[in-house]
Amino acid sequence: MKLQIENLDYGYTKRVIGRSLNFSVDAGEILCVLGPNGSGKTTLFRTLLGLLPTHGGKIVLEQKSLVDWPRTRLAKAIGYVPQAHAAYFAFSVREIVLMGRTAHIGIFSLPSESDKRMAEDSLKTLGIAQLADKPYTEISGGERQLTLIARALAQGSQLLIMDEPTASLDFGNQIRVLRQFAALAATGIGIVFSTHDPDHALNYADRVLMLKDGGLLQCGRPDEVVTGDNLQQLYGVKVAVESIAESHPRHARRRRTCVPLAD
Amino acid sequence: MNASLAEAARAEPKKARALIYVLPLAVLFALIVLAFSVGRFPVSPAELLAVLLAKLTGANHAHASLIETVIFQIRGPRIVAAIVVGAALAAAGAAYQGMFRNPLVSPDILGVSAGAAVGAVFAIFLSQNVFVIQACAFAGGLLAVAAVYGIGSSVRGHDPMLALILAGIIIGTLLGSTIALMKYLADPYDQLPAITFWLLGSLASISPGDLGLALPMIVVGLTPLHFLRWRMNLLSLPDDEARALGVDTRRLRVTVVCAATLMTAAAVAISGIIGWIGLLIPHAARMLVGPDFARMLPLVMLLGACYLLGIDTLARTMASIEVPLGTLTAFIGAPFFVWLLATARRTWQ
Repeated sequence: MKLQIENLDYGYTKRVIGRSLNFSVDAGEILCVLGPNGSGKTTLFRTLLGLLPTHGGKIVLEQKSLVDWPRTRLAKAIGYVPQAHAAYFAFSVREIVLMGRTAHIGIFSLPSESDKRMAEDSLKTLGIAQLADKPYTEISGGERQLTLIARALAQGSQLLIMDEPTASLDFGNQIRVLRQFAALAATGIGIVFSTHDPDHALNYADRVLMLKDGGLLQCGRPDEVVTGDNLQQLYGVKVAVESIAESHPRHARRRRTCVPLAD
Repeated sequence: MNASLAEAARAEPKKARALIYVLPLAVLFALIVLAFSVGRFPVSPAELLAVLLAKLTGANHAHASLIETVIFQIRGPRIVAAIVVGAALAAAGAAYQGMFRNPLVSPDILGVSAGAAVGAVFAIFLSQNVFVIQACAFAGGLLAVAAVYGIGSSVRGHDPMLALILAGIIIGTLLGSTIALMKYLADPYDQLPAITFWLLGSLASISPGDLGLALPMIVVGLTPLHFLRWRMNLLSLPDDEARALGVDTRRLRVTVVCAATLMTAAAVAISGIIGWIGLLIPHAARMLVGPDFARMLPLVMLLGACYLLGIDTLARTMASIEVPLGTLTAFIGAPFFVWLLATARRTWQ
């Protein structure tokens, strides 16, 4: 499932944030969006999901303009993982994940056995099956984030849009989630995610998009785009990108990491 | 019902889960028998059974027509009304709470009851019939909830849960003043007692005709809630998420508001303002089966029916004069709510 963004002007209902954005996401591709706070990442995502109207240009999904997609069909195509948030009611993790099946369930119907199975499967895929009966209000921020990702998986979408999915995770869970992305992409699912950690872009993305003040700063392969110069332009701090040899017999590849430098 | 039963029902075992519905059903049945029996004119369960059987089979019966009048004309309608109004207010409260993502709202706090009351009092003021009273109650309730929601969501930069409740208090006060004005202008010998009596909340003067009007309205309101019972859950998510999951949130929300308001208005129109049920009962139900609306809806209605029937029976038997229902629900509801606040943190954040 291919998502194409052509000359997109986007923003809130009354205010334009960014202009003339061009990029695309292919099936099985992982696109990482980097940008400082307030650079328009969340607004861009909400526009891609059809939650905010465009101010100009076009979003095309499968050769069809996004505005021509009915809400239910769109939900089957694009899944959304928001930043983990608090909940007002103590739904169990299982119930939350089951809500991912909404687009597949008739308006007046209850979830079927197969819906329930798919919810269980995505819980297992993310390794949180043991949380199934816990109330969402009583689990940690990281577990909530994993629950929301499981919900998007249960949705069965071919494209996942994730707003800082690693923001509230501990170091180990961050890596586990990012590895999960690679596994999902291998099945043909396209992934767009934002992060504040350039290391994630360097090591887990196929392409990187840098947003500054709503506009496109750079877009390209991680090794080309995530450089000290670009990061300094983006965040206003001096950064060096270093390379480390991984001495694993099977993954003999170089890993890269960003190190902040004294100004 | 103790905590461990609730735990078991949430976890899964089918038996415990069924028990959580069967138990209130048994309590309701017992309350019905009790409500028929007690009062100034006692009717024993045996007499009740005999009269009911006679009525069903159409057989000639040797029972005093007085007993029949008590059962069919006085206590019968009143018992049905208590069950229907209790269930309706509780279901409406549960719907409002889920929909506004706010466990502290209820028909009273959202101003629906007060709005419906203004509409109904206005109709009484104009000496209209029951049908017009109901229509005005519905319109008033809908306007009130629209105003509260409008104000609550347009005040930016505040905790939305707090904003909604404050908006409810503002609109509620405004509506209270409107009622006061209408009372002041009403005919003190005829309309004023009717309005005052009605505002206190009472099931004493309910006729089978009133029920015949309110019951269909409540069923009409309940129908969409029943069919949307799973989808309702999606409204407790932030709007963006629910839409990204494929829900037309605006249409769903409007449907649910109209349905819940219709139920509240129909109840208020025949019973007056009976507070607390829409706030308390959903909490109790959520403690027992969790927040899933599909599982909660039948229980919330059962508990609402039990609560109001129990309270109403108490109201007409505890003293030599009848205690106003609205005051009694408040006397029992307020301490219960304090207890809920103190102990039941797990039903919300």
